[in-house]
Amino acid sequence: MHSIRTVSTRVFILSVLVLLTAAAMMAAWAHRSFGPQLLPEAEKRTIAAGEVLAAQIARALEAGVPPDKLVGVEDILADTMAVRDDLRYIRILDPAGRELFRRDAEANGNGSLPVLDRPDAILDTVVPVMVQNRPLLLIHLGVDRRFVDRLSRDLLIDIITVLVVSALCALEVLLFIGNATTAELRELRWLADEAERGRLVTRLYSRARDEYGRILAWYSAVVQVLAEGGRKMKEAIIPPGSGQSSATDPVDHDVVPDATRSLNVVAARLSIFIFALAEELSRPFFPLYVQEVAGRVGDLSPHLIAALPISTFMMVWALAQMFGAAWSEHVGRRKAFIIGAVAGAGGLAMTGMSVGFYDLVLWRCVTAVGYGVLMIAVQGIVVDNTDEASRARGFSMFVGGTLAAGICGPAFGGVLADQIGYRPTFVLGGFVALASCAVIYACAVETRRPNVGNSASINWHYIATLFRNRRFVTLVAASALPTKLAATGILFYLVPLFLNSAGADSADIGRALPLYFVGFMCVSPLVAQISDRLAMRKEFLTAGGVLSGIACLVVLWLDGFWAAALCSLGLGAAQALISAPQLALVLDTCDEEVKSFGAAAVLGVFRFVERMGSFLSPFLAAALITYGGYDGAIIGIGILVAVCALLFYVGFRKRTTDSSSRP
Amino acid sequence: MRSGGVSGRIWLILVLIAVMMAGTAGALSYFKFEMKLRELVTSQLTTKTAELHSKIQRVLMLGLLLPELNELQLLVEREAGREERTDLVDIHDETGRILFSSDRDRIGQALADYDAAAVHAAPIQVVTGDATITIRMPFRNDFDQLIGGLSVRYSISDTRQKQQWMAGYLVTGAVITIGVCGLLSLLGTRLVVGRLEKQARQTRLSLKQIYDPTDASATSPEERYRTLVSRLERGPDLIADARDEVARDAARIVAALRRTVAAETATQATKNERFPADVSVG
Amino acid sequence: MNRRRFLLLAGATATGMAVAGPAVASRGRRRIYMVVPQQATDTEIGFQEFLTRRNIEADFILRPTHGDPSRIAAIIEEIKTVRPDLVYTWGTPTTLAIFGPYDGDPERYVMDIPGVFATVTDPIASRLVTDLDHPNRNVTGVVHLASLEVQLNTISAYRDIRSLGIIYNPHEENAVLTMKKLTELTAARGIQLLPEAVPIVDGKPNGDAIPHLVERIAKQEADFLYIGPDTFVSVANGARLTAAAIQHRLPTFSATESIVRRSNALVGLFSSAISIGRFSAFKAEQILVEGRSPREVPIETLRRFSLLINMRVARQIEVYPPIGLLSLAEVLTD
Repeated sequence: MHSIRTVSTRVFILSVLVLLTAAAMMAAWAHRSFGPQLLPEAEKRTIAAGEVLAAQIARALEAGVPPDKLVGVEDILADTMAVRDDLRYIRILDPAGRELFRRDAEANGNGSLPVLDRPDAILDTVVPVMVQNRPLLLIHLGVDRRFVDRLSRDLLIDIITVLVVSALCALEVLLFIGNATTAELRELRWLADEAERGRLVTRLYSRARDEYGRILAWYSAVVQVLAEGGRKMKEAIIPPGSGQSSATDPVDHDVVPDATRSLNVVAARLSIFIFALAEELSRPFFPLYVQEVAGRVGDLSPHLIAALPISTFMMVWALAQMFGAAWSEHVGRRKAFIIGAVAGAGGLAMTGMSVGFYDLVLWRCVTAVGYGVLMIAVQGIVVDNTDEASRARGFSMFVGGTLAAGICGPAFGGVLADQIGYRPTFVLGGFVALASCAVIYACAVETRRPNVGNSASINWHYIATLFRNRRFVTLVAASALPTKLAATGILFYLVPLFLNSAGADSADIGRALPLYFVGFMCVSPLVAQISDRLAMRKEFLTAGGVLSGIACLVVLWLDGFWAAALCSLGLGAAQALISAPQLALVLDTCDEEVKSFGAAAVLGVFRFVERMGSFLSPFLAAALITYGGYDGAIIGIGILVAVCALLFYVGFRKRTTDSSSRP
Repeated sequence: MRSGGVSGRIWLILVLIAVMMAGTAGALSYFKFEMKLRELVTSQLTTKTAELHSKIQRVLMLGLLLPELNELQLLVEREAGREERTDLVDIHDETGRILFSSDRDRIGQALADYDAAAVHAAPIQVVTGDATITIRMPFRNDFDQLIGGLSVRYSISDTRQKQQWMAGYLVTGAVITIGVCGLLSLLGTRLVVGRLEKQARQTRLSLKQIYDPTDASATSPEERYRTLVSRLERGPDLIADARDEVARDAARIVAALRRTVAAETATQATKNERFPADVSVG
Repeated sequence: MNRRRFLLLAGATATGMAVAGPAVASRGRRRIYMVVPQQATDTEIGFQEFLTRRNIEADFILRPTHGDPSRIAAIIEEIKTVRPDLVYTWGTPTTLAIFGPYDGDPERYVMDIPGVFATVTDPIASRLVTDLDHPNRNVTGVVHLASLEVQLNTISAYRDIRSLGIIYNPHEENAVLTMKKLTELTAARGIQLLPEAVPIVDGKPNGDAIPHLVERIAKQEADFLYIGPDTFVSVANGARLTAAAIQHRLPTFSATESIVRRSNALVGLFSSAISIGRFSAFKAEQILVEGRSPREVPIETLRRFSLLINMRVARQIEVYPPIGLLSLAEVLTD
């Protein structure tokens, strides 16, 4: 695979170069213009402030106070400087040029930029104090030109945020491109492999017009010639229809090349990434948006009003996945995805245009349906295009896509929301979601295998059976539900409200939330290895629960951004401790049920019940807020999770051999 | 993503990346600029309005009621004429009825969208219109009752012009950036994929010697088959030349085809021996 | 000017009422009795003007007392017979005379008709009410003096003071109370109070001693001299006091307007009389139109006061006001 990897790596490097170049050029270009455009306005503002000062001083002079006996001048100068962070000094001179009064920024505690005595760094504006049309005094106000630099610096920080996010996005895209661009190369490899096995494939999946494509076309033509000629030769000897095949017969074209399969999987990852990104854009401010739009709804408390759309979304999302599995089986993954994506996109856009509580909830439900169907379709694509060996990798790619979106989305969304507002961000999300549609539409090929029952369609019989398994119930109630409760309730609902009340803007919230996924990503690979090696599943789950509790307690000692950031990070790490061992433990605990209905079904039920935790958590959080405020609610949930984890440790007994019903 | 060459696709992606980055950076720059500009202008105009407001408030201190202060009419007219930016100065009572105005026709009319209740929530109101900013500040009496307000409208068409200029400037910058990045991408793609494409071309040309799909000289399928088979047996040995993977894969294909044809010919020969030659297609 | 006309109207109505007796029908018009010491002042004009502008139709019946107890008794009698919608009074003595203390005899005083007073210095000390926020009786009103805290703040804003002098008449309850309160406040702020009581000679305070007292305070390097609301020191001897202060370059502060305007105190903080009148009318409106009981209408001061600086004096003693304060003040130049 040498040249294929070479191409991918080089394209990656090129992309990074292009990104950096574009960012640097635009930043420099913008910076060039800020100064000339903004400094005149700053000057006008300074003159206005100067005129206010002049009027006050003139009044004193007119009242008969001699210029050198003016009292309280430093105070009014200090007041003026207090509200202007770009003033470096104010000096008052008499007509002879003698300095009578002076106030510098450092004395005011404004000195954040070092004061250089470079004359061109300071713009000096003069306002005369006129008494009876004669200038008795001159006020000199010094403005630091470099406030423009500060503006550019802020812009640069924002651009860097976008750059990092784009780099992550670019990685996703590149993974995809790597596959798409080398499709022909890999198809050729595959044809060679098949040919060596004696199978000559005629149908091609790549139709490029470049050199590689022509090579493939050549192959196709050659196979055609051999087939035709061979048939004619055979006809000369054996009557047609006798059923004997020859080696030159072309092969059934339902064999799908690996290239296409991997392209499908990667396309699926890219599109779920894009869609999840669109949905995650609103994560930093969704509860705040609800409060803004919803207003009063009956007698419900504002916290409950903010909680309802989140819970409803979780419920509908879970249900959509449950029922969507069978449907995507029926209509085909590609179509299911596209319909889901369009519904989701529409839902997002309309959420941004809702006028009241009820239509907000309605559009969130539409988005949830779209998202759920889409997720199931993507999982279906992964299953259809991977075999036993590669399935785990395929699923981890899929999860990776959602993780990457969880990191990029809030960061990006926060910055966007601050600049263009909540509603436009939703509408933009709608367009981005449509883009995910475009990727699948253009690149994915329907490869589902009908009648292969590998979807996790659930029926109530399964649920009832599983709930009769006491250990399953313990696992769910004491470990799965609480952790999901914590994750949804805190990340989606409490953190935005908490940070907002501490004065943070959406960009800050958007930087705190992704730390959950970062924490998850850092700890998760370690856990997978250690947990299997040590076979300590229960302990990991308990540790994760306790860690979640500790993460929440951070709120007691820290404030604002850092509290939320560390809490998110801790929760993510705790989730990583729990995720993989939990799944393994479920399959372990329910091995009989797995034998009866299959692992997929069992896991499906588990996931569904787990999502009930997501559904309930905003309500619980809303209730806790009334008792303890936002930080109290976070601590409360933390304690709940930790206590449940400890109860789980005590109550979840290892399977004892004599409970088996075998003779 | 199905048609066009590998290099074409790569170049397109890179250009799209450049477009996205330039577009986002441009948008961010514009928003930052607009916010700062608006902040500067609003604070300047608020300071001016506050000056006028305190002048009038001081006159009110002397005990007269707002409607009685006839000198205010002169004051607002002078204020409106003093500066170009100042469009309109109104002084109204607590119901929004205009008492004095720089535009005499307005006296007695109601102030447009005046909401006395909103004044309590946010005393200084800034309303941004198309090319204007209106700043309103209330007057209160000695026991904090609302007795009226000052409403000054400034024209900010020059600010709007600045914004439009900036937008154009940024678009120009974006276009230049995309252009430069496009060229860079072209160069880069050429560097990355060029050599590979050359190798692929060589391979294809070698393959063409075995069989040329565009050659229309052989007419019947049997003839084509025979030509192909003979070339496969005697064809140039690509394996020795295979330096890159594409050539190697192509070589494997050719070898496989040769084997297949050989096997088939052997089978046919065997079959020919089994079946007597007098079975013929009628 | 409009004010004069109001005054005439009020006067005419008053005479008319005095002649015609209390038999006039209402037809929705309110009857408001206005009991004042001497004549209608700016406060009464403010009161009437406010109600009229609010379209409250009322007959204002003016009843000056001239300080005469028999007239007061007659007015009370009249009020009890006529039963107007509201009774308005000006000044502490008049208010106490008409409404009586909070535990007064209902037979003797007007206690069952809603009342609003203006310009009472200290309703609690005068035993009019026990709680300013909840008068708990049929009377509410407006206090005209800024609180002592606000006054001290104003002095401190003019100049950072470490010691404050005060000359007071020990025979005036008002003055003694003020002095006591000032002692508390200055102690809390770490300011030294230099009190000088006017010496009593033959049972009466001796005004001639005042310039000497000023000198004594000046010698102790007081930063400011506080002129309280007592009539003897500030009204009767205001000129003497301020002249002495100027001589010794001692800045003076007064909470009474006339002392700054007509005598030569340096700076004063006071309520505009018209604003007091309007504020009382505002409370009257709450009673008459909104139907609230005076029990629930709090007794308040104005939120904004007038600051007056006498620049003539400032130039003479060369103690100039800070610019920030000047922009808020009315300035007397010449």
